[in-house]
Amino acid sequence: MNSYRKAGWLLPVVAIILPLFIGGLPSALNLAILVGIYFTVCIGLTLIFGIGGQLSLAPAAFYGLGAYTSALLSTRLGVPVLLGFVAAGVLCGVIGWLLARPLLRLRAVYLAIATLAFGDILNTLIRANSEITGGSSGIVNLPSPALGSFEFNTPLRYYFLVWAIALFALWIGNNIVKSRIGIGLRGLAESEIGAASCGIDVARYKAWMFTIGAILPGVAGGLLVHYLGFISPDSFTTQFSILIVMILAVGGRDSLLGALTGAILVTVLPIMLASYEKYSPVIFAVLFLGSVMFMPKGLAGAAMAAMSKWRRSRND
Amino acid sequence: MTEAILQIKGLGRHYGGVRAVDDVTCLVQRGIVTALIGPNGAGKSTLLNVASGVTPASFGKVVFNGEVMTGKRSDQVCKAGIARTFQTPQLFPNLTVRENVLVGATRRGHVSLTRIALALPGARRDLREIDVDTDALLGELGLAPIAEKLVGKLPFGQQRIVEIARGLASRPELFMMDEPASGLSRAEVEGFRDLILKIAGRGISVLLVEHNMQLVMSTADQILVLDKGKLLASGTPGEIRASEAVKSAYLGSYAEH
Repeated sequence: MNSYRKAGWLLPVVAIILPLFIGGLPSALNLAILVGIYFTVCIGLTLIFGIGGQLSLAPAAFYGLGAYTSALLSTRLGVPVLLGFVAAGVLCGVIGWLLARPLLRLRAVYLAIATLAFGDILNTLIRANSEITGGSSGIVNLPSPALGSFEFNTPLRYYFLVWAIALFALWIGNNIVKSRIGIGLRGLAESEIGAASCGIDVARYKAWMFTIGAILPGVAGGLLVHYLGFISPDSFTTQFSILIVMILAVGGRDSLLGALTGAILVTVLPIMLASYEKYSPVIFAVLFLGSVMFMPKGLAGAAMAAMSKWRRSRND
Repeated sequence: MTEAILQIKGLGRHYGGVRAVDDVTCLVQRGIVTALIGPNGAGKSTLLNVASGVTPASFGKVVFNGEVMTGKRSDQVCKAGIARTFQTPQLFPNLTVRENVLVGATRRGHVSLTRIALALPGARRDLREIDVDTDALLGELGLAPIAEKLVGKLPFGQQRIVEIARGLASRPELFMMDEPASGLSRAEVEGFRDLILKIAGRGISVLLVEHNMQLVMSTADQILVLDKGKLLASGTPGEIRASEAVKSAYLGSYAEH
């Protein structure tokens, strides 16, 4: 609890001063932007899966849906990009809400398969309707978001935009996690019958989290494609959802700190391992299996446990 | 003259051809302990599950405080003022004792998700107010020393008490307990008897499904006897003990001891 509160003000400070150190390094700034985008997606999945226990593989679908929404609105209709981000979040939220009730009756692996199918359907639709979406080749020359005459057209500016949104998402996520509703969510993950007998409307709780878990990847998808300047369906395949689940597994799925740890690790590690590129899938697989087997609460959980152990031993 | 808090009217629950509960009509009086007994498979747990919204009724009605409960989900039944425990505790093993009890107080939280997510006024108070009551409740049930322990790591007897505490946190008017003494040691059952009497002493009506006849006879003011899905008898413990029909159907083994 205490460490949470500390992280609460520490993270924005770090996010603000970080560019002082890496601002001159485009590759580092690029990574920091990706971490922020992945982190935003992960906050959504932490709520629905990490805390609420419902394994959804829909992040890629909403990531793609949001990305195409803002890409199409800005290129086809000339809607300002920032407004496109809002539209992406709203559309994903509405579709998430509508899908939540029928989908979340399914459990465990059935839910995973159904959400996976949703993503595949969406991906197929995008590829098939090439006159609107550009099909497999996608759309290029996406505009940068702008606030009045201020354009987020440099990596440094984009960095601040991404992290402002990521920190806002973190703040919302953290408000929920530490509330009565957050505790109830962790409860229903363990016993739905027990939670319902305590007055928790299980279907509604799940639908809320699924909706937030649709809005956040939706906005993040928009952030990604307007940063890259192009969009194609290849960025929103099942593999992306698996990557997000992996981030949660490695970092720690039951806390937002875990999501951040995982997002950093999964983004930065491939760069550090660049010279061993041939082996990087193996290294990732070992890391994934290792954390699932030996650190059920991920790196963040293991670190927290080690820290409280160290504190206790010092107090004795 | 006491009045009924729960009316069960022609209630039935069929599974295919099996009539687990078959046309049961009875009353649970307000402010006392009512025990529901009967041999294995008599339909006691099914009756409780139907009354608490866990299982839908095939026909008939359950009326609580004048409000029809049949057709409601179990969270709605809880919100109406009925708490329950389960034969196999339905706790949250990886949550602490305190957190389990906090979830029990869901009924009393009135702040919406939007308000909580955006930390609007009232959001902080939402948990804080419940928190204070939770501390008092934990203290009262002797759970304060283990408040921060994970429930899954507690001995079974303590888990039963946590489940009771979680139910009490909703401030119920009626508390339904499904075999709370099963799996407990003799000493723990003694403790449970005191707990049940204490709960009743607070004015909470109790419906107790139980096999342990010592516990039933020492706590119940009224007894309902189910057999093969039907109501066999109802009355005070003395009347039930004297009833020939009950003796032959069920109590035989108990009376001999």
